[in-house]
Formats: sequence, C-alpha cells, structure tokens
Amino acid sequence: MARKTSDNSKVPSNDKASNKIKAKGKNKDNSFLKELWKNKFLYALLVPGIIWFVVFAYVPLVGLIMAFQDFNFVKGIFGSKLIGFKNFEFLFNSKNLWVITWNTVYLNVLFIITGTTVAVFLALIFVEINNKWFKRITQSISILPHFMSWTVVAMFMTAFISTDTGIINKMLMSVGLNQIAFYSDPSVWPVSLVLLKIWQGAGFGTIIYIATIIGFDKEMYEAAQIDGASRLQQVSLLTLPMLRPTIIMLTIFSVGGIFKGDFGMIYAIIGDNPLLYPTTDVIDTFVYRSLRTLGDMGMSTAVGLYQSFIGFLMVLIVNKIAKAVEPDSAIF
Amino acid sequence: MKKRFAKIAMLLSVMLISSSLVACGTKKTETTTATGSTEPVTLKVFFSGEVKNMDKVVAEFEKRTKDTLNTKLDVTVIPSADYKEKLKLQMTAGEDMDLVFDASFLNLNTFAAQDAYTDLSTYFNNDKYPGLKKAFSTDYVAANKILGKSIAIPITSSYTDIAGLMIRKDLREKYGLGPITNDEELVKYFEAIKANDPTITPISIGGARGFYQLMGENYEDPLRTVKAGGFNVLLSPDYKTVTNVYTAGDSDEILAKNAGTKDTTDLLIKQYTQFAALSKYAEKDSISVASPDAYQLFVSGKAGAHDSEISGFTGMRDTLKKSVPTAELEFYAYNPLIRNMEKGAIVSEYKAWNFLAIPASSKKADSAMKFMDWIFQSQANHDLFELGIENEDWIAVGDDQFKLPDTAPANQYSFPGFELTWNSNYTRTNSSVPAEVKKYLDYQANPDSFIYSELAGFTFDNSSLKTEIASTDALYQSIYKPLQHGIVANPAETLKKNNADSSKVGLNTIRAEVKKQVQAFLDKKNAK
Amino acid sequence: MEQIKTVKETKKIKKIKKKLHKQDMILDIIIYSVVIIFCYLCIVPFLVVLSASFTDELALVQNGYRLWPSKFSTEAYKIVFSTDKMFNAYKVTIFTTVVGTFISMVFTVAMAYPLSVKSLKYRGQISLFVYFTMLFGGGLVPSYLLVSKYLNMKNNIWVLIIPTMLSAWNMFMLRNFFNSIPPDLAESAKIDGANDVTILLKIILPISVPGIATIGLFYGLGYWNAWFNAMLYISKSELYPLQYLIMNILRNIQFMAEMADKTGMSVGNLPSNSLKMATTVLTIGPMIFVYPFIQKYFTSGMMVGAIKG
Repeated sequence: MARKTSDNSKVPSNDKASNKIKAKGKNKDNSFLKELWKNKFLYALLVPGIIWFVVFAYVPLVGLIMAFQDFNFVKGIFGSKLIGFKNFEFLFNSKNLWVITWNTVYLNVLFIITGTTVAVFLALIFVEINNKWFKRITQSISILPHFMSWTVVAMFMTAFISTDTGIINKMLMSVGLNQIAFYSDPSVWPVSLVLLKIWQGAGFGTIIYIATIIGFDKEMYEAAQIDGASRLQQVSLLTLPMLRPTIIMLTIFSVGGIFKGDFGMIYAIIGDNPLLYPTTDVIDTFVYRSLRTLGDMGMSTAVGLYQSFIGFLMVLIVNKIAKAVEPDSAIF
Repeated sequence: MKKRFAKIAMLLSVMLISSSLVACGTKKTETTTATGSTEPVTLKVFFSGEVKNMDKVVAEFEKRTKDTLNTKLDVTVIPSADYKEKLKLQMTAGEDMDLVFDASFLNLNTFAAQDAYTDLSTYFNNDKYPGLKKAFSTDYVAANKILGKSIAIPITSSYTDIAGLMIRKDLREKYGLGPITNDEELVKYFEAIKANDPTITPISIGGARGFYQLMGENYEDPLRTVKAGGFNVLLSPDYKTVTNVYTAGDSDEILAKNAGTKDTTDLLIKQYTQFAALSKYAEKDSISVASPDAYQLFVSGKAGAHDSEISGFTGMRDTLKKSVPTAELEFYAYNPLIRNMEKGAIVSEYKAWNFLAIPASSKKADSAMKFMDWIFQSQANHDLFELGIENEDWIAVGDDQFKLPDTAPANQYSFPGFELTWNSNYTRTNSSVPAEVKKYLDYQANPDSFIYSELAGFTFDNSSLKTEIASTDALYQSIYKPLQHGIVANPAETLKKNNADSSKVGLNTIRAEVKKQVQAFLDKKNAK
Repeated sequence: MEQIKTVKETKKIKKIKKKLHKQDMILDIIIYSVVIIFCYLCIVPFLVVLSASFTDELALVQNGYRLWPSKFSTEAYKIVFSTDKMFNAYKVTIFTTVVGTFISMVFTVAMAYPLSVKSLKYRGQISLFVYFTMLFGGGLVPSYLLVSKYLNMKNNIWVLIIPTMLSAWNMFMLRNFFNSIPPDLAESAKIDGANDVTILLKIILPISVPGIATIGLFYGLGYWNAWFNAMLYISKSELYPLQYLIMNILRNIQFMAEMADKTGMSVGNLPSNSLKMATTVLTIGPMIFVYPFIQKYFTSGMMVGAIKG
C-alpha cells in the first residue's frame, strides 16, 4: 500500500490532548518540569546549541541599541548618546524611498519564484538521470557559478552587453534587430538580474532538493509503476507533493530577507551608474551611497534593524499560513 | 652575627643610594629629551596596506637607539581594504594602540570630533623635540589642525599633486601637431585621433571623476572663493567676512549675492556643458567603465589621453611601453596657470592628505613622539624608515635624491612613506624621474608657486548634521557621475532640480552651519 | 500463492514498460538536452576564467577574455604561490574545515533531531528562538567586542571555528531531513526500551546519510571559503587561512599599483586581472574535485523494507 510518509499529522495526538488536560489541572511550573523530564534526553541534546546561540547570536543583539544612538567610538555602545529615531530620518525622508523599497521587494519576489522553480525543475531532472558519471559530472558543473564572485562575473558582463561590440548586441544586429542599451536603459535589468541570479544559484539550489528526493521511500514509486503511472505522473503525483514541505520552508526563509537587497550582486554589476537606478537601486545600495563618506554606524544599524523587522513581520504571517496548509514546512 | 648583618645592610644601602644618585646624574646629562628613564618601551604601531621586510629596518632602529630611546616597535599592518573598519572596531574595543595611520578619507574627522586622539600641540615647536621642530614649521602645524587642535601629525612631502591629462606624445607628433598649450589644441588632438586612428579612443574617462577638472575656469581672485562643507564660500574683498555660501543649482536670489564678481556657478555649468560636447571622444558607455579599466585602456595603447596626477607619470609610461614600445608620454595640466608655470597659481591650505595619530587611550604618547622626533632628527634616521638600509635597498644620489640598486635584494624593503616619513624637508626624490616630471616636481616644490588659502587650518565639523549630509549626499551622487561624464543633456536644469530636492532634506541647514563655522574661524584668525 | 503473484506482476510490468518506453525516450531526450544546455552555460564562464588565469596579463588586456589563452603564462599562479605563507595557509584551512565541519555537524544534529520530534512540547518556541537569530543581528561592533575583548579569542585558531560553528539555516535544513523519517521507527525502538540518544545514533543517523552529507557539505564549503573572521581577529601570519591569503594577495597587488604611481617607482606589469582569475580557480578548484566523491553518499540511505507490516 502506498503510504505518504510525510503525513505525520495523523500521528496519534492522544499524548498532546492528554498533556493539555493535565496541564490545565496543574500549575504551569509542574507541567514545564514534567515535559523536561519526559524528554530529558532531547532537551539535553538541545542545551549546548542553545547556549551557543545565546552567546554568539543573542548577546551581540545588544548592539541593536546603536540604531538609536549617536554612536561614538570612544564611548562605545554603553556610553553613546540616545537620539531616538533620528538615525532613521535620512531613509524615510528620501524622495526615493518608494522606488528603492519597491525595487528591493519586487526583485526579491522574482528571485524567489524563479529561483525555486528552476532549482526544483533541475533537481527533478537530475534525479531522472541514470548514468552515474554523467550525473556526477553535470551536477558538479552546475554548481560552478555559485562560487564565482560577482566582481569576476561583472568583468565578463562587458563582453556580453557592451554597445556595438557586446556578444548579445552583435547577435541582435546580425538578425536585424535593434541593440539593447544595457548601460543606459533601466527597463532591461529586472529580467537580466533574474537571469543572472538563476544562472548563479540554480545549480547549487538543486542540492537540497536532490538530497530530499533521494530520501523518499522507493516502494511507493515501484507501486506506482505497477499501477501504470508514467514517469511524469510519478513526478507530479508523488515527488512534488512530498517536496512541498521543503519548498515551502525554503520560501519562508527567503521571505525573511525580502526587504534586504542583494547588495553584492547589484553593486558589482550595476556599480555607480545612476541611469540604471530606477529599476535596480535597492535599499542596501541606497544606504551604501548615503553613508559612504559619513560611515556612521548608528545609521547603518538603524536601516538593518528596519529591514529585519519588516522581514520578521512577513515571516510571522507566512509561517502561520504554512502551518495551516503544510504543518511540516512551518519553521516554528 | 647581628653586627655583621647590620654592616652588610648598611654597605648595601649605601651602594644602592650612591648608585641611584650616580644613575640620576648620568641620566640628566645623557639626554635632554628623556623625561627621566630609559626603561624599555614597546610601541604598538598600525599601518595600512602592504609593507615588506620591515623587520630588518626595525631591528636596525632598535640597535641604533638601544641606549637612548630603548624603544621597541610592535608593528601591525592591516590590508588597506579593511583598515578603516578595523580601526573603528579596535577603537571601540579600547584596544592597545600607540601610533596609528589615519587620513581624511579614513576615520580622521570622525575620530577628531569624538576626541579619540591625543592633542599633540605641546610636542611641536618644543626644544625638547628638535627633530619635530625642524620638520614641522609653525605654519605647517597650524594649517593641519583638525577642528582647531593638533590631534595628528601631518605626513606629506608636497602640498599638491598636479592634476592633468597624460597625452600620447608619439601620436601627437605622428599627426603633425605641435605641443598642446590650450584646450582648443587639445580638441584638435582628439579630432586627429578620430580621423587617423579610429580604433583608438581619444580619451578614456571611466571612473567616478570622468572629465574631472578639464576645461575649468579660474576665479578672478582665487583667494576669495574657498570651499567648505561641499559649498563654495565667497569672501569679502578683504577676506574677513563671508559674503555668500552657494552651490551649483542655487536660485538666482542666492547667486545674486555674488554680483560684481565672475564668481558664479555659471562657471561650473559652463564646464559641464563642455563635458557634454567632449563625451563623443570618450569610450562608449564610459559611465559603466571602472577606473582601473580606463587606466588599462590607456596603458595598453588603446586610448590617446587619460586623467592622472603628475606622480603617476613614470609608472604609466613604463607600463605603456610594454604594449607599445615606441610610445612617449607628455603631461597636460588642467589649470592654464599651472601649465604655464606661473607664480602663485596654486591656492593651498598646506593640508596633508595623511596623518599619524596617537589614540587618547594610549599612555605612551611621550615615547611615541620621541620616536617620531628621532625619525626627523637627521637625514640618516629619516632615510632608514623611508627607504631602508642604505646601499642595500637604495643608493644615495647627492643630498636629496636616491636611486634603486641595479639588482634588488631578496628582502627589499618597501614601505608607504606617506604613512610615517614623508616630509618636505627630508624626503628624497627618485633620481631616475624623467625630465618632464622633474620640471613639474620642481614647480610643485617651489614655495613661490603657492598662495596661502584663507581657510588654512579650517575643518568643517559635520557631526551635528549627519542626517542632512546622508540625504544630500545620496541625491548628489545620483547626478555627479553623469555630469562628470558629460551625458547630461541639460546640466543647468539637472543641477537646479537637484538643488530643489536637496533643499527639502537639509541643504540649507548645512549651508547655515558652513557660514557660521567659516565666519567664526575667520573672526578668530583676524582677532589675533 | 506468492510465486503466481510475482509472475503476474512481472507480466504486467513488462506490458506497461513497453507502453511507456516511447514516452520515456522523449522525456530522456528532453532531460539530457536541458542538462547539457544548462551545464554549457555553467562551464563556459569557468573555462574562460581558467584560460584567463593562464594568460599573460598584457595579452589579456589587449585581446580580452578567450576560451584559450592568447599568450600562455603562469605568472599569476607564481605570484599566488610565491607567498611562503601559502603552504601554512593550506594547513590552517584543512584543519579548520575538517575539525570545524565535524564540530558543527555534532552540534547541528544535536539540535535538529530533537526539533524534528513531534512530541517535543517546546519545539515550536525553541525553533522560533533559533530562527529569530537569522533575521536580527547586532552588527559588527558588538560581535567584535564579544569575541575580541570579552572572550579574548584573538589570534587563536579556534576563533575561526567557534563563532561560526552553528548555522541556523543548516540546522533547519537538517531538521527538514529528519522530518521525513516516519515516526514509527523511533516509536517501535522506544517500545523496545531505547532512549532518544540511542535512537538518534543507531537508527536515525544511518538512514539520514543524504541529509547529513548535504549539510556537512554546506558547512565544509563555509569553512573552506571563510576569511572574514580571519580578517577581523587574526594578525599572526601563521594562522591565516587560505581564502584570506588569496583575498589579500589581490588587494595588496592593487595597493602596489597605487604605490607605483605615488613614488614614481614602476613596479612592472602587475598581473591583476589574471590574478583575479587565478584566485577564483584556486578557490573553486578543490570544490569541483571533492563534490563528485561526496555525491556517492547521496545515493545511499534508502529505506526499502525499513517498515513492513
């Protein structure tokens, strides 16, 4: 019998229900300790990691106060003057606030959707390949772009997109079409950036999906084959649904960063070309330019806090939805 | 037993006391700069960039000063890309630092405003520090005060590095053109390249500066217009009052205050309009070209001219010759007064670009300054740190020049002199510098070429204007590069619009502050 | 009974297989074409980088980037390997990668498994506790103060491992792998009297090899390419990791080029473009060699017959 292995919600919930009733009857402390004792080994396993997070991730959060300080390097975090929300002003007073926010979110949404689609698609394809060495070699090749720094990529871009001499424009001219003015036309860049992001990330992104698919129960596929399912049907009826938790989880992670632009890529490729700002200027590049001479740490921390905060709100919403739809994919 | 013990004790104490007396006496006559002890001291020094084989120089220094300064140097070199951030972090963490390199493009102004550095005024012009006295004149020190205090030691050997274009002399001669003496002839040169060598780009301008200072015009009285906080400041004819603080794109109302002088921002707009006309001579899509690539274009022989300071001449020429062995270079200074080597053509604040500072948290300021003093006590001391071991890393040519040995030693010393030793009184010039460069270097070194700016010694304190500066900077950077590259169709309109936008986010607040600070500075200066 | 069933099944399978054979062939063609095109797009830039790294700098500037060096030269590699610290840097990086990955995996598994157990009451809260750190960070200043001043970890090889030991993202990925293991396995073992740790070690880990291999790979890559913490906290050259050295070589060459301008000393033709290419090759190279061998772990961990009846 084909059995969905991810259907864990059907696990007998007697324990949960009875625990709840028991907790209501006794005071909170008691059930807290009871739970700790019941799963003592599991909690014990968690303790070292939790301590690490407290020390290396939570303690430094003290620095967030810098967002509200006129940060003085000599006085430090505990001695600098508090100035309320003044550090946020330069961002919110900017006439370009809407543009950079829109660009940040719009590009990120495009990246998430296209990135996930292509990575999943490629993963499904790779899994179907039977020839061992062909599979290994092509998978290794597919992750190469992930390791190329954007500055190196930017060096090649000129060979592709230059006016008159670039490969793309040469091709266009040879078939009688007009050239694309990459360096002065902002409208071509959302698509270009998406293509670049796919090229760089798709191969590497397949790793997680392939590893997940490998772990699926082979029996199910065999049973499906006996029932007459074609390869396509196996993929759409078995593989994809079982991949859903992973896809949703990865998407939620990406949503957390939805207000954070990919500074590394955009700054390396676009650089300081104001002609292209209307479609490519994101919050991070804007802040970089504004603070270039000042180098004020309070202001940069303020913007980072703002981006994290919005991302957090978005994740809370999306995670709740995911929990209802696909409980295994929710992060918390 | 007791008696003998007492005798010995007395003997010992007498010996102790007498020896300390003797030591005191010897110390007094030993050196007039020591404040009482030759206890060993270790200075933690921080430099930026790349330093090679400094150990042998430091060892030699420690050897020579074992009995005098008895100072050890603990040198840390931080890669230049990380220097700015690391110094910030180290400062916040209160780490042990005694002598650090800093500059206006690094953290100097920020740290100065936050009192992070020790005030060094008492060490200059102090007979106890003869080396410093010799190397740093009162004027030099006064001109390099940051926010009114001498909180850093200026390190520079010349007060300007003349800017201009490097021109391909061989191409010019090939086209039968005479030496380029003015802008019209320059354009003729560009035209000639286009006509005869279409594959060569007449001028490569990639990078933030674009056409930079090309075809700019000089003010009638250059002393009356000074720059501060990003604005132009027009002074009264007697240089004592601020008449106007203005910038490009200002309303006619504000610019009206400049009436009677040629001093308007029309000059700037005129220049930008010139750039627009010149953009056809620049490389395609110049705005997306990074400055190293524009440089490469030129030194690989594919461009006819490139922006550079005179100090880059030798390097560019040698690199160029590798691609085009028959190439020759000449220099075309932007400023016509400088081009003609006129007296008083350069307005200078005598400000150094690079400094050395002592963090306020360091308890070894005295020792650090004594070390600096030692460097400037004699040519030999200075040369040790600037050039290395004589006859091994360099060879003296006369009193004020040097040359590199024919075969470089395996452990050749290489050190960025602008971080420690550059000084107009001591720095030797490379004797192999070509004549073309030498004539400019001589002109640069001649005090008659300069006139002293009214704002020498002034630093604009922007610590209360951070939001306004961030906002106006962001706006300005959107138009600066296109203007410099000549791709803005209507510069006047663009500047006006930018000005209007900037006014909404604090431009006039900054303007008022600039006026206030400059006037206060002038008042203080003229009250003396 | 069983034998007849098997024969029937086999006959059915053969019939279906014939039908799908044609469909399969078309699919296969599509699959192989897509893969080949995609790999072409991935490998060509790398080949250009490789070729450029072996090209004489001058030729590179004049002829541009080609698939084959226009003028062969190993100058860039000579410069990279001329640093005597290179050999030492390999030692440092190998140590931090191997030891670091191991430590990271231990801690990550120790967190990921409990958080995948449905009956753990506080797993939601603890997950949120960990996730929060992925979004919010205090920035460089407090981290620097913590590591350098209060923990005094400067110039210590462990500073290259401990502050980056755990990745919340990797942990959640691993938790995701553990989620797909049917809880019946753990339950039946519990009935037999095993405690959670035994279950983890003896049952869960052996069937989680693809997940462990994947996350191990991610950590390994992270350690191999790490240089930021070295930049912040290490000034002793014996402790420089590989990637930091490579980054520095590049920056220092650029600095030397600037120096040449300022002092009028010509420092020759510094190969900066080919150097960038060479450093890219040296960074990517090891990865390509290692990855095919790790891939074999992705094919194991099948759960056939793990749960029957």
